[in-house]
Amino acid sequence: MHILLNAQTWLFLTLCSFFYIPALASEDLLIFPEIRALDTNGDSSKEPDTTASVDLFATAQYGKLRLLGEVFISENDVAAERLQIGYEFVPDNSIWLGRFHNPIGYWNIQYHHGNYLQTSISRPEIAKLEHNGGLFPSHLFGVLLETTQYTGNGAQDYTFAAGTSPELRPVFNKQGLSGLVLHPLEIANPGKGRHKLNLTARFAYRPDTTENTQIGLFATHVEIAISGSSADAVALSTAGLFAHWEMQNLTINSSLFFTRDTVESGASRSSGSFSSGYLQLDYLFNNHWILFARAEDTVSENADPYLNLMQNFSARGQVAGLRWDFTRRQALKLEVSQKDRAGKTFITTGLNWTAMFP
Amino acid sequence: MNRPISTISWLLMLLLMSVQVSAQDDKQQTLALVTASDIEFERLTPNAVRKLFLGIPVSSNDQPLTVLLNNNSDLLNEIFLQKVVYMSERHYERMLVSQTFRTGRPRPAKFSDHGKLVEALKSTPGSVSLMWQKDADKDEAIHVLQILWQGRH
Repeated sequence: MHILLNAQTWLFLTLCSFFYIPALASEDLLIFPEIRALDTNGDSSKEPDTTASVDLFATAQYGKLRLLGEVFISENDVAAERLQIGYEFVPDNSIWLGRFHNPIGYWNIQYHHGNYLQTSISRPEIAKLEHNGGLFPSHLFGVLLETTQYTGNGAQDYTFAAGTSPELRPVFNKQGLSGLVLHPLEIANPGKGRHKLNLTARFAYRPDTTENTQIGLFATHVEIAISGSSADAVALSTAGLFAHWEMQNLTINSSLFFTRDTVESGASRSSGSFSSGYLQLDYLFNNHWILFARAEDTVSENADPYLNLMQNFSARGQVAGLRWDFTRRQALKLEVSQKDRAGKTFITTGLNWTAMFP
Repeated sequence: MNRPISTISWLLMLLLMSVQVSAQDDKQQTLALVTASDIEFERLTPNAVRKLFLGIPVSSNDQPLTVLLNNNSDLLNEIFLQKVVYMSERHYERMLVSQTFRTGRPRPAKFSDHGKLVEALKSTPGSVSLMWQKDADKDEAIHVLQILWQGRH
């Protein structure tokens, strides 16, 4: 296993060291280990079949100052996914500086990299992270403003983010991913790549703050530089809706993205638009067993210049699976998915063990 | 036939009655929201108490409250889940973790030792916790803010 301690990791370890300063008012540490085995029919480039990873999360609060870090350790990499310093000027109203998750939709800022917290093994295509072939920036480096207004039992959350956009450049990695992939700014190597501006605004309404149920909308605009391709730059303007609704035994999780994009290649510009969304249903049989299913679809994908660049995107797919929480903090998940990508259909069977400590 | 009750029978009856009363007293429990701070406390609604224990910011007369979890009794924890937050232990843990993971706000500190909980209540301004009323009454520094549940178990 190749693990190099880069500057991001040192920063995270520095954050962890705050745990030993006795004057600190409070701190917390969460560990999410995962072992995942995947088998994909029709994909000759797949490897490795089994991967192990650990997601480490630490947060420390001293008065109104808050430090937060999330490091994802896999067999190939150690990456600081989130590294933020925040100031909570009044309860539930904070400003953050650093590297954070782009507040688009629900998935990206609810589950982060903690696979244990999401019911399924996989993320929906439009919520995929950049390095897995995601269409939208999932990590920004900049300023994040989060405010919550409480009204009775409910609340409205307003989030604004301004940060650096990723660069789109070719990659070929051991997971068999090839083609153009978004690369967010690396804290350890900020000079690598060209990074422009990403702006995002998000609103969520929660009818009852003691539950996760919420509906909301968001808008984002991002300018992305491209290297290693005939195209030079792309601009994406996206608006979207999301809903996460928890009922007695059923949870509905859905998002819909509407995107207009313009790809520049030398003096020429081509524009297009597409819509993509997913609907996931989780049925809770009891405290131990959850059956889940997800449908994903995209409209206008063939004519869109940005989707033509993003060959790792699966325009449509179906996912079904079963989650078994066999202890209070450990789960086994089985998932089968069928996805269409670049004119081919891939069927993937996945099994994972995931947990949460302490 | 009229048989007088002997002294021994009277004593046995009294003994049985006292045992029964004592057993009933043991089953009677009162769960209280307590503090060691000087808080101008305004009674919280059941939903506000639920929010408080789910780590959502709650104030009483503009005093932000900091919750400390009492984990030193299985029965207290069971009553807390059933009568205060109305959810299973797994769901409660998931809610706290989910919120911490999203907001960076640390989960409430958990105490399985009664003495350490009392120390933390005394040293943390605005801190509140759950306690059996009979335990709270043993320490003059602990004040009962409101009764959350009363019953036999």
